[in-house]
Amino acid sequence: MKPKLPIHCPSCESSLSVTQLSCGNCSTAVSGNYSLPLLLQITEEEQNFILQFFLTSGSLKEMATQMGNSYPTVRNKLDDIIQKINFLKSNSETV
Amino acid sequence: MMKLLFNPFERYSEKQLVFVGIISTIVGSLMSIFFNSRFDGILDLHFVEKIKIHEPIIDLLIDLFCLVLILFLIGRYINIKTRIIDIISATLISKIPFYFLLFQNIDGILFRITDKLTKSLLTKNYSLETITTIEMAYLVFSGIIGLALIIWSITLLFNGFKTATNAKNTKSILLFIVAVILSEVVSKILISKFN
Repeated sequence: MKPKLPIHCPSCESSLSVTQLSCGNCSTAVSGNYSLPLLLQITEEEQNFILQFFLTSGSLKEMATQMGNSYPTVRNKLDDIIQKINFLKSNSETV
Repeated sequence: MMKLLFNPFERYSEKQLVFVGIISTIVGSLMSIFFNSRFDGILDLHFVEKIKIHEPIIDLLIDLFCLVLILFLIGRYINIKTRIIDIISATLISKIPFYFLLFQNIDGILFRITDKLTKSLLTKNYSLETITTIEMAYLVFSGIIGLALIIWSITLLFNGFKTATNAKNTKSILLFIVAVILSEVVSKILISKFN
């Protein structure tokens, strides 16, 4: 099973940030405090949706056929993700 | 199955929905001629003694036109990306439960009972002796079934509107209610004037 990347604190539900990165080859570790990129702050389902959008060259009609959903359902999903990303973006700019 | 009955708009393409909607509208028009009924308002269905062939067809066209136009304008106000084809499919599909209501007037039974009831009330005879227990039971049964089918129709219309406009907040729900009431008033006026 592929482990899921946690993006929220299991204790207080605040957004998590990256404090350590390490090299898998020589075990060098880099410490700091980096916020997660915007695309990692959304759910895995939303990330997959964006990936599929990219792979279908942005054709919502093709995506709708592939997903077995109607066109407005897919468009609404995209609009919701755009709204969420805009919200996260404005939040990260104010911090 | 529940999705198919209450929210087919989430899954099925607009072409499939409009196709089913047009076929059901044609069948509904023919049935309303057969069952002597008038759709004299977007949420209305009345049974009459005799009907002219063109009447239910024009009724349905006016109902659908009013609902599509008003819902589309309000849908555009809520979300500029709202497409008219999605509103058309929601409107056509939401009318299907009304066609099931027509079966209540098999052999003109519901018209006869309501006519008897109206006449006795107009003559100020409130004793209801003219109506048999079976007729009264049929009236109550029809009322319950009718209410359930109207709720089904409004649920379909709301879900179709919600999918077409991505409406989520209370303001959008209120605007939907306003659109339905406005469509009912406008369609009633137009039908009484032109049909």
